Amino acid sequence: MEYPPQNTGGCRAMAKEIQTDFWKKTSIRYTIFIYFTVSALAAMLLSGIALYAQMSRQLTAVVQEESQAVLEQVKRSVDSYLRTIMKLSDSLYYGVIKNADLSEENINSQITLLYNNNKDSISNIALLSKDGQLLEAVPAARLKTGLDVTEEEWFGNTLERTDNLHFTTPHVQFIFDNNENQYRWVITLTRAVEITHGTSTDQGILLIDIRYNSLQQILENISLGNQGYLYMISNSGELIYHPRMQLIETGQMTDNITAAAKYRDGSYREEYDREMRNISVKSIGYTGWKLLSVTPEKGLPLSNLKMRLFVVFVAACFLLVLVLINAFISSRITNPIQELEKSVNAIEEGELDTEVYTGGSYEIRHLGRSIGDMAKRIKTLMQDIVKEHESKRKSEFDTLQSQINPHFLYNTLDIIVWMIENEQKQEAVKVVTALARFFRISLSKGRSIIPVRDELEHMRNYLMIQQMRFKNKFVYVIEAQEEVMGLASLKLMLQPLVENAVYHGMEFMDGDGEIRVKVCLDKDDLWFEISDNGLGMTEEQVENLLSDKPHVSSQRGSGIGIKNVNERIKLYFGENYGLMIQSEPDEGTTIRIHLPVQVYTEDMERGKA
Amino acid sequence: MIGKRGKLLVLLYMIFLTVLFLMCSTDLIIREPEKEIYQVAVIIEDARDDNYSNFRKGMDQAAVEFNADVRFITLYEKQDADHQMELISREQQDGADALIVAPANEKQVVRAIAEKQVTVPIILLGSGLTGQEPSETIVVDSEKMGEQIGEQMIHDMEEDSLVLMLSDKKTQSLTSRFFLQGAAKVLGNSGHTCQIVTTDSEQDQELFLNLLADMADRPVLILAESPELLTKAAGVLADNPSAGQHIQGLYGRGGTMQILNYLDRGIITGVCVTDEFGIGYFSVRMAIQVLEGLRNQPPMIMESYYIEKEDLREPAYEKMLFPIE
Repeated sequence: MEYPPQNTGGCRAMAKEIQTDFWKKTSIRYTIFIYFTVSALAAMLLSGIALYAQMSRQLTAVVQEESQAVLEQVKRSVDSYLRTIMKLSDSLYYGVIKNADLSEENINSQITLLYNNNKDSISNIALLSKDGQLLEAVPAARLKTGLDVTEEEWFGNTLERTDNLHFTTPHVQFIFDNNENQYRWVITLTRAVEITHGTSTDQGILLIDIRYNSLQQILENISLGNQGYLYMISNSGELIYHPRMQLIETGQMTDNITAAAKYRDGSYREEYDREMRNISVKSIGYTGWKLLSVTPEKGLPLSNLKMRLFVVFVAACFLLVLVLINAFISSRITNPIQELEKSVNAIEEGELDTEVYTGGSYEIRHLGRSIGDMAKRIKTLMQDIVKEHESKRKSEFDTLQSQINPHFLYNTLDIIVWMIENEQKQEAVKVVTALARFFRISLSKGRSIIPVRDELEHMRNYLMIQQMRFKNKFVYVIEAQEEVMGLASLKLMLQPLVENAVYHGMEFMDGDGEIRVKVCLDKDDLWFEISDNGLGMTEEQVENLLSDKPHVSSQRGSGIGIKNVNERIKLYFGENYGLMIQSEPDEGTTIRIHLPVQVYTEDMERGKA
Repeated sequence: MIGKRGKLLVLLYMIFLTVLFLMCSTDLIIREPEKEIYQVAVIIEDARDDNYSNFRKGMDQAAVEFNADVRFITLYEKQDADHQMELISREQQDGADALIVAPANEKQVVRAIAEKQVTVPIILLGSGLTGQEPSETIVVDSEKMGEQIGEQMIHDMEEDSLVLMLSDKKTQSLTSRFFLQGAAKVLGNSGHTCQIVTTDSEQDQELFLNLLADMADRPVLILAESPELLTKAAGVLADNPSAGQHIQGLYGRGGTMQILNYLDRGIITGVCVTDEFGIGYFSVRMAIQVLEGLRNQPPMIMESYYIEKEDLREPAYEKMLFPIE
């Protein structure tokens, strides 16, 4: 079976891209918050784990110390108990047996006395000869029929190491035939003794059966906390006491006794039966028995479910505080940046007058101030550019305006020549005068704003010249109230309009052409109206006149388009002002000029500029 | 500073913290398990508790370890199944949380469990041979025990030996019946003659002595079906050593002090024993496990062991037969 090849490189690149996209889309505030929180969380977790481990170690150490203290107490009790038995053994040997000649004396009463004094902890006292004969027994007993005590393990051991006291492990005492349907668990203490029979001395064995339950009482009620217990083993690892001794010895339960036999005094941690346990060990002086305490770790408070939940609760509280602090810190850092971003966005959208945010830290304040200054400089530069541009346009328009169509000048001069040749001196003088005035007003000392009076005069001169040229094909009427004469007007504003009326309206008239110029006031507005009864224009032609579309201008005109007049008016007086054209084919054309009412002063030009 | 979503998250987190606090610092959500003292009634099939001394020691240890209050109840008459059923009902009414029953009539008790007459957990100390025991049963396979002792008798006997099987038909328990059956099967298979002698543990010993005298011409092995009959037979032989001269061996089952004493004295040749302490301990533990819902295991089968005098001092048997109190 074939598997499709895995494009791990592609997947990795995609994952990287997604990651990059995520960080691209993530705000600085969120990024700071995540970084702060993750790093603080990691630090908190590490310190928490370290703290938990340290606490666990300390708790374990405390438990082990407590176990050691308990063990020490128990050890002292067991030691004391065993010393009492050993003292009894000494008393029996040195006080009774050693000094007695058994062939003459009966030592039973003395042994009985000592037995009675210790019968709570002693089950039997017996004196045996080295060949296994029972010499004395208290309470009275005899050896079981057919039993050879010399084959008992303790018997051989005692005679082998005669200087020592020998303790067996717990066992049922079988050697005595007491005819009772009872059995007793004992620990047998034996020692080699010298027995005197007349003049001869021989070795014998003193046997003391220690009641097991008297030793058990010392050990069984020791509390080691939840599920903790204590047990005792011999040097070779045989159980001497265990709370579940019966079940362990019959194989129904187990404990880690083999390992325990190897432990020296001290504290250990072991795993047994899938459970961690703390073990403390103490040896009992003479016997070499080991006392062990076992404390399962699951019984310790830190392992408790509620304790673990409490640790989680504390960690969760820390996390909440951490998140809130991080949110506060990140907002403190990023709020000024966000405010600054808003200001930059406003500037980006062209609102250069926006007040740039200058709060927050030093860097942000500095940045804010710099951006604010930059916006101001941009604004100034833009204004300068606009002014420069306007000035340039004005200059261009003015230059265009001031250019006189050479044909107009040629034709006018031609008329003058023709008049002089025909001796029409008066008419020639009128034309020359009109032409001179025309040029004088055209110049107007380089001003662009002139009084209405001068503009009308300029137009009148032009019309007069054209009327003579076109041999009175048309008449013109100029109506203007005296109050408008002193108002401001744009130089060479009317002449191109009138020129259009003449060339496009009057040329084909047979003396009935009429050009009417009217100037009037309407509240705060000044209106010029130039109407003719010429050919008129279609709606499309009217639209083309003021549009940006290129159109063919007449070579006979002054060369200055209506569009330029309109733009000049807007340039000088604002967008609210300009031209309006109404025209009907074969009916005529009316052009209305809308200007503000402003009294002309010589400073106006400067002000407008 | 925090958006609507953030506030919602903080609110949820605060609720989580509150729940966590309640869980770790109060008993409203997590309660520390209270150590309940369970009432457990042990109803045996016998009128005396001689055979149950080791059982009681194990039972007492488990009662201490598992916090149980155990009542040990005997019948007025041995193997009185009806009385035992009455006791089962009475103990339920008296508030026993669980019952441990050594059934006088195993089938009757099993039927009562099946018919839901027993409403509390019940642990049976059964033979495991009815095939209908619930999983809460501690099984001592008495038939296997019989086979075990039968094999040992075959090992000890001579070719012309006669096997006398002492049985008490009046009070014969299921355990005794299966024990004899197991032994008879093994002995029969090996071609040995078995004779079942119906006797009564209360009967006069003269009848038993007469029986032995009748068979004085050949070696005899005696197998007692119950501890009582074994004790009785051992007692007769101990008191009349001459009567038992042709007796090759006395066998039986049980681990009472008297039996062990006779075994130690050599009057009893061998016995089959079980870990009675373990049975007592595990029956109470099983009852507690059932009450706490922790038990989900098949019936527990206890091993049986054949021992002779020499085995008494073996450490493992020593602890099993003479439990440390």
